[in-house]
Amino acid sequence: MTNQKESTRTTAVALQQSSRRVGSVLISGSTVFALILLILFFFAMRPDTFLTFVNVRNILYQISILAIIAGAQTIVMVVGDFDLSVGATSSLAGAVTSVLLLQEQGLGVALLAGVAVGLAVGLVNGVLIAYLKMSAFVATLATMTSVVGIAYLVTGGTTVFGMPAEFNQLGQGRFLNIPLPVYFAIGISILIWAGLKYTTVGRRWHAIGGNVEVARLSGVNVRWARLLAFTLAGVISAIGGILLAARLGSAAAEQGADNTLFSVAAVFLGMTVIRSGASNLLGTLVGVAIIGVMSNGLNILGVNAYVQQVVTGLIIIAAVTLSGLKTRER
Amino acid sequence: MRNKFKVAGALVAAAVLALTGCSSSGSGGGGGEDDTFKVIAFTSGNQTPVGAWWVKAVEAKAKELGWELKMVQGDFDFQKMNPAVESAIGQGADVILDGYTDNSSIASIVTAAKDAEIPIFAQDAGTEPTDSFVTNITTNQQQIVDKTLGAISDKIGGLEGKTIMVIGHDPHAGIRERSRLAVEALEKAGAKIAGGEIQQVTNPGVGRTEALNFVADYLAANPNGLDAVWAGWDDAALGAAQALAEGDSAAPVTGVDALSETIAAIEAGGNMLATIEQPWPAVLDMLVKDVEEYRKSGTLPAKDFVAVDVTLVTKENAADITPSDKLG
Amino acid sequence: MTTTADTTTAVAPALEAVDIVKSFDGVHALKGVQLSVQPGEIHALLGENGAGKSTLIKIVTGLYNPDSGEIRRDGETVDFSSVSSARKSGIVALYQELSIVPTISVAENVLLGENLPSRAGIVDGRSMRRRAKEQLDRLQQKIPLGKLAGELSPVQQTMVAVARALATDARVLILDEPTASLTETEIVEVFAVLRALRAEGVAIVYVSHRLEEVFELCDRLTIMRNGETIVTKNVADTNIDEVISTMVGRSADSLYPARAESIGKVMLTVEGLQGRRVKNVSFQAHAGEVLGIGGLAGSGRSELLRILAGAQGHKDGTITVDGTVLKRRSPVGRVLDEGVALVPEERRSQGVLLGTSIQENIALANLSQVSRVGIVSSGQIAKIAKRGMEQLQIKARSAKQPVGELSGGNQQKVVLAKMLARRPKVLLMDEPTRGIDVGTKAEIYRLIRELAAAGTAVIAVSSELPELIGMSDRILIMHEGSISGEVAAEGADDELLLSYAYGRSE
Repeated sequence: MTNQKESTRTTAVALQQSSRRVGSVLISGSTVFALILLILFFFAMRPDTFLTFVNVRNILYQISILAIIAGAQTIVMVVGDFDLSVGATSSLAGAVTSVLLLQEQGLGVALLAGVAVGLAVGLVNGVLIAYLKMSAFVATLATMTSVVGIAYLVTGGTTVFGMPAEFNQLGQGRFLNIPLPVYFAIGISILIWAGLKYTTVGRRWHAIGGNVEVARLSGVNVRWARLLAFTLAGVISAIGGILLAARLGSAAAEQGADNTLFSVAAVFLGMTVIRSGASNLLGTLVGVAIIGVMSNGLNILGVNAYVQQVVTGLIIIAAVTLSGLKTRER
Repeated sequence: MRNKFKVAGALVAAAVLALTGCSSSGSGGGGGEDDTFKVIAFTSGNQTPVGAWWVKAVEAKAKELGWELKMVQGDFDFQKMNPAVESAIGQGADVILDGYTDNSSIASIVTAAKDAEIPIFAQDAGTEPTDSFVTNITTNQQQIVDKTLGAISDKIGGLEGKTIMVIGHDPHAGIRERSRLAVEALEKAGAKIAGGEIQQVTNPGVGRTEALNFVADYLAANPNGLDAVWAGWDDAALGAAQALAEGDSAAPVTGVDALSETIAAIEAGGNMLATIEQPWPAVLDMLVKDVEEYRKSGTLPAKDFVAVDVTLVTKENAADITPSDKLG
Repeated sequence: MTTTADTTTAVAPALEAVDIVKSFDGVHALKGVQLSVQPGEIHALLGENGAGKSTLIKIVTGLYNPDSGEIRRDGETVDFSSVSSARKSGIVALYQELSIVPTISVAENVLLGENLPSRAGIVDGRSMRRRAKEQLDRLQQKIPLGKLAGELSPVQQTMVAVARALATDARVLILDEPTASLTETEIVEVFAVLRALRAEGVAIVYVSHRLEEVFELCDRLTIMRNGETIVTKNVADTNIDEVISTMVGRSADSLYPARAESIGKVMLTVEGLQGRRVKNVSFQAHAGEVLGIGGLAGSGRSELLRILAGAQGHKDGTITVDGTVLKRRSPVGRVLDEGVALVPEERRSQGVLLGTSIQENIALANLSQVSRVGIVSSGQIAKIAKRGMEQLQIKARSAKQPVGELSGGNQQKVVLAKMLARRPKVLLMDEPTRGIDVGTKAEIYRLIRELAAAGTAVIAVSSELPELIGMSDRILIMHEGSISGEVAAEGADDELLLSYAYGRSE
C-alpha cells in the first residue's frame, strides 16, 4: 500500500461521507426546500403580484379548507391507515347543514347536524376497519361511494344555495382583513398538532403506526385507538365541508372531491419533513402550502388548466418518491 | 362468536354496497308481450339538475302514454352505462331515447342499436347532425352565444378593445361548441381573450371552486384587467361572480342553464348579469311527439337535427322564468 | 496484535483480510484486523457485539471501503468498489434477516438479482427452474420450486438463501447467526449441508453466539475484541470457557448468578389452561423464583406466555395473579394493570419500535405514569427513561437515540425497561437472550436474579438447555401443549430434560 493510494483513499472516503451527509440533509429538508424554491420562482416571475398581501391572502383562503381536511388525513395516516372518504364526508356534511338551514332550522342545530354526520361516517369507517378488520382502502372507498350517493339524495341532485347570511359569514367573513376560514384552519391545525404531540392518545396512534404488534403487546388498545382516529377524521372533515359550503354560499354533492387526493398528497409531501419519515402535521401544512402556492402561481402565470393538472401529478409523484427514499435511508 | 359477528357485519356491508350500486341503474321493465311499446331511455347526466328532471319527466311521459320503459342512469360513468343500455337493447325495444349524452361517448350503443334496427331519438346529444340519431333536438348554440355576448356588450359599452375571460369545459360537447363560438365572436368584435385561450375547468363537480380560484388569481395578477366573464354554464359563472365580487370588480358574468341560484343572483343585481334558459320541457314534448308519430305510423322524423331557440334571462324577465332545477 | 498458532497450510487462503483499519466519524471500529480463511474450511468469527465483526464482514463484502489494509482472494489483492464486485469475486454474506422474498417462488428466489436467465428480456422459466434445482440438489434439499418462499419453514428458507448464494458461484460464504430460529433437527440438517460444501472446497465464515455449535461444526476460530483480532486457533486446541474469557477479557464462570435461597408466596396460579396448542396446563409460580420453561419448538411454550400476558385468548382455564382471578379475554393492557408483563420473543418485530427513541419506547407501556389528564409530560418521560437506562445499564448515545441503532442486547434491555417500569408481579420472558452477546447475557441473568430477589415471579422460556438450567430455580418442560416434566434446576440432567421434551417421562 503506497502512501499515495492511502491518501487518495482517505480523501475519497471523506468526500463520500460528506456528500452522503449533504444528500441526507437535502432529502430531509427537501419539502421545505421545494416550497421555498416555488415561492422564489413565482416571485421572480411576477414580482409585482405574487407576494402582495392580496395574493398571499388569496392563497391562504384557497388552502384553508384543504388544510383542515389534510389535518384529518394526517391523523389517520399517523395510525398507519388512510381515509379515502374525507372529501365525500366533507361534502355531505356541508350539504346536510345547508339543507337544514334552508328548512329554517337554527344555526346551532344545523352545524351540530353537519358535525354529527361526520362523526357517523367516521364511526362507520372505524368499526369496519378496527373491529371488522377490513382494509382501510376498501372500507373508506366503500363509505366514500355510499356517502356521495347520500349527498346526491340530500341535495336532490342539484346545488343547494340561499343559506342565511350569518352562516355564509363563517366562510366569507373577515377579521382583521383576513378571511375567517384561515383562522379556523389555524385553530384546528394547532389542536391536531398538539393532540398528536402531547397527548397519550397521540402516543398510542404513533405507536400503532410504527408497529401494531409492538403497540398491542405494550398494552395499547389498538381497536379503540383506531376507531377514535377515524371518528375524529370524520368530524374534522365535516367541519371542513361546512366551512366550504359557507365559503361558496352553496352545497353540492361532490364539491369537496378534490380534497381527498390532495389531502393524501399533502400528508405524503409532509412525511419527508421530519427525521422519522412519519406523518406529521407541520409537514402536512408544508405540503398543503406547496399545493396552494403551485395552483395560485400557475394561475397567475396563466398556465393552461390541463398543464396544471399534469404538473400537480408530477409533484405528487416526486413527493411520494422522496418519502420512500426517506424511509429506505433509515 | 366473534367470527360470526364479523361475517354478519361483512354481509351487511356487502348488501348495502350492492344496493348502492343497484339503485342507480334505475327501475326497469322486463321482457314483455309484443304489442307493448318498449322504450329504452338513458342519460349519463342524471346527477345534474336537468338530467335528474329529464329522468323524472320521461318516466312521467312513459306512464302517461303507456310505454314500457327501461331507464338507465349513467352517473357520467360510460363503462357502467353503455353495457347496461346494450343489454337492454339485446332484450329488444322499439325506440331508444338519449338524453344529454353526447354521440361521441356512446359509439357502442349506436352500433348495437343499428344492428338491432332500433331508432335513437336524442335530446341535446351533440352539436352537429349525425346518422347515429334519427333526430337530435337541441338548443341553438350560436344563438346562445349571440344573446349572452349581446347582453355583455350592452352592459360594458361594446366589446372592442375589452378583455373578456371565456370559461369552458371541452369534454362537454355543448359547452365546447358554444365556448368556441364565443371566442370566435369575441375575436371578430375586436375583444381580447383573457389569458389568450379558453380557461378550462377540469372537473365539473368542483367547477365552481375552480372558477372561483382562477378568476381570483387572475384578478390578483391583473387588477382591473377584466371587463367581463363569459361562462359556458351556470355553476362556473357563479364561481366567477363570487370571485369578482370578492375582488371588488364590477365586471359582469353570463352563464347558461338558468339555475334558480343564478336567477336569484341576477335579480340581486350583482356581478351576475344574465343566463340562458334552454326550453327543455318544450324540447322533450317535441321529441315525444316524434316518438309517438313513429309509434303510430312508423314514419321517422323529417329532420335529423333541430336547433330550437333559447331565451336570454336578465333582470327584466328573471321573475318569469322557471329555473331549470325546479322543472320537476 | 495477533498471535496465530501454526494453523495455515501451503494453499493460498480463499479469503484474507490484512491489517484492516476503519473509522467512522473519528471512532475506530477496526484497528488493524487480520482474518485468514482457507478453502474447504469452516472458520468461526467470534466476539461480543461491538467487537467489529459486522464491520469486517461489510468491508469484505464490498459495502464499505477500508481506510487502509488489504483484502486478498486466493492470494491476490482485490479492491472491492461495490457489493457486486465482491459478489463477482465469489464472496456472499447471508444475514439473520434472510432477504427471502416471501411472495415469489423458490426458483425465483434462488436466482434473484442479476441471475434471472432471460431471452430478450423475458424470463426463461425452464432454464431458471433447472438452475435452481441444480443448486438445491447440491444441498440435498427437496423443496418444491414453485412454492411461494413465504410458505417455507425457516430451515427451508435458510436453504434457499444458501442456494441463492451458490447460484452466484460463491466460493466464500459468510453466515451470520444462521441457526437463530431453527430447531435442533433443522440445525443438524444445516450442518450437514455446510459440511458438504466444505468438502467441495467452499470457504465458510461462521458468525454465531452459540458456542456449542461453533465447537461442533468449525475447524478454526478467530476471536475479535474492541476492533482487534485477539487470537486465531484450531477449535480442537481450545474449549468454550477459554473462548468466553478471551471474548470478554475476563473469566467466564460468573455467567450465571447464584440461585435463590428461599422462595416466597404464590404469585401466579394457572389451572386447566386450554389454548390452541396448550392443553390442560396447570402450575404455580412464586415470588422470588425463576421458573424456566423448556421444550421443543412447537410445544406451546410461547403460546403459554402469550395467553398469560393477554396477547392471545384461551378456551378454558383460570389464571390467578396474587389472589386476583383474571377475567377471561382481558386484553394486554388490563393484564399489565394486574401485574403481568411480557418480554416477547421477537424483539425487533414485537418488542420495540425501531424508528422511535429509547425514551418513547419505554414510555409506551407506561403512558398513564408519564401523563396527567391525557397530556404527556416530557419531563416524566425523561425521568422514567433515565431510571430504566441506569437500572439496566443501557449503552446508548442518549435517551433520544432511536432503538433501531442499538445492539441486540441493548434493544432487549429497552424492552425490559419498558415492562419493568410497570413494576410487574409476574415477569414473562420469551427467549430473553436470543441473539445477544455473551457480556450482555450475563447482565441479563444478573438482572433476572435481582428482580426475583426483590419479589417478582419470573417465568422464562428458553431453547438453550445450559441457559435454562443456569438461570432457573425450577424447570417445567412442555411437550405437545402439556407439561411433561418438572425438575429442580440444581443438578438437573440434560438428558432427562431432553427426554421430557420428547414426551418420554421416566
